[in-house]
Amino acid sequence: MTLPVRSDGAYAVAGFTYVAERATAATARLGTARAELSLRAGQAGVYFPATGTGSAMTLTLADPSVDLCVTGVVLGIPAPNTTP
Amino acid sequence: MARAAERGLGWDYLTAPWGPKLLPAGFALAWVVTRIDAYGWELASGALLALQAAASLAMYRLLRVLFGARPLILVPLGLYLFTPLTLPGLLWWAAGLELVPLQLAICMALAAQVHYARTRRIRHVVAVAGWYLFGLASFFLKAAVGIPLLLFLLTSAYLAAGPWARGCWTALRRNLPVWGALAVVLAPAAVLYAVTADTGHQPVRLPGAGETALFAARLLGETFPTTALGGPDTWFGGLVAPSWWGIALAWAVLALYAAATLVLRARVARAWTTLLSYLVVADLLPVLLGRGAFEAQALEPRYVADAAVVFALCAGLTILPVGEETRPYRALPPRGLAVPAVSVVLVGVFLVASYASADAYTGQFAAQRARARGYVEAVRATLAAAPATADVYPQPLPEDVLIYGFGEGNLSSHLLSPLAPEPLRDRMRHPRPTAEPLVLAEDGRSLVRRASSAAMPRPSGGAGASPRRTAR
Repeated sequence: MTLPVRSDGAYAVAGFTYVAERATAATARLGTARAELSLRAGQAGVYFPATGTGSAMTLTLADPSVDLCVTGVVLGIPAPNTTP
Repeated sequence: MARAAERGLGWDYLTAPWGPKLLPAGFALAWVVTRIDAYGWELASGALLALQAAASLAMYRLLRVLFGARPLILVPLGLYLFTPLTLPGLLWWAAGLELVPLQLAICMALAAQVHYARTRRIRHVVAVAGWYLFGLASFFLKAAVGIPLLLFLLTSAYLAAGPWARGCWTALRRNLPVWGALAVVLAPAAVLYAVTADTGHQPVRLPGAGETALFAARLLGETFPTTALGGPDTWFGGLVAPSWWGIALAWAVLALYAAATLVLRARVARAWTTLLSYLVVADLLPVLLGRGAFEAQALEPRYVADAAVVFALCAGLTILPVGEETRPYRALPPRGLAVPAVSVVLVGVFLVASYASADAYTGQFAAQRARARGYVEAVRATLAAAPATADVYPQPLPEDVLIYGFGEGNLSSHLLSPLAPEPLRDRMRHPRPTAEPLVLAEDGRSLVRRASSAAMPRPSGGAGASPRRTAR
């Protein structure tokens, strides 16, 4: 699937939240950046370094039969949580 | 330090460009300090102070070699020791890594040249070349032009007989081994510099005539005279902000002193020409080519810090005779207490003004220094207590901790990882995918979760993207 994030190649961390019916491995790509992910079952989120240039991130599941719904996606530089 | 922590002490590390600069000597010192105690200010500043002490001893040695062991050499030595010119290089460590060893190299190369001119022993040629190499390894651009210029001007003006033009020819002819050795040292270093220097973020261009005149007037007309003579009376951060009367007073003192020495001391114009030549060629031109478009940069005193050596040397040359001179004085100073009294007042005012200026300069940074030190120590403790498997993600350092940080050079993975024990240090540099990335709190005292709950939408009944509904 394609996740709509734009990156100019500067250092960034990508992350997305999802709901998955079963655990599965997945590969995220943003330009030349690539991350091998291990997605667990249920409602969860994952973050990873993604320094690449592009207007979208692609997510490929190792097990295409898994039902997975991405519910949010971010790309940027992490900062400490300032909200209580 | 971050770069030193990530690399071994090899050729690649030592000759890596730092923008348009090449400073393997400073990199070597940074590597050793980082390996012993990364970000430990006592060790870092102690190493720089030790280098400054060595440069001060080298200044004393140069004055003693040139003028002989006489009490009056304490005047130029005191000028060098107490002028605020050298201060910015000691407070800003990265600047000091270039400036302090350069001053040591200048003094030692000049002393070796004086020895060679007097003894013709080849070992002094080797010493000149060796210190020139050390100067190039400390601050390539300034040393490359500044040291040969000073060697030639001092040799032709004071170590040769007759008019200066004849002295130039004599100096060229009689010191061929020295000039040859300098060329042998410079050629490969220049090639290395040309190949490695990175001017991508520092375009090299000569600004227009108006900008050049303004920049030169500020750097040589305001920054140098006020700082050299114990000022400025006010600072604006790291920049000088002298009042109009501070500038006028500095110029009045310089003009009166120059006039007095012109009357009393022979060859004194050569000393002032030497100082002016160094200021223009080694201090103004390189900065003008890189920063000439930014007028405020001309108020940065570290660009003329190395001129403290030349200023003190030339001050010595305006009052003391060099052994080679047959008639060093045009006239005797007035008898009586006038000259000693004026001298004592000038020295006293210079020392008090220098102390006040230095105190004001360093005092400005006290709060920022305390914040940075507190942050680094807190981070050191936090990382020491963190599990080795913690996923500490890169983050920009707080803006009040790292003032000159740009892009990835400002990230904790680069700057703070040296504070972490292994294997956490490696994890900080190469973070793994994780559900809960950790970042340092604003005060560095704890590791906290990355994002607020509002940063990413919660699942809401299948409203997101699903592979079942999206073409893959």
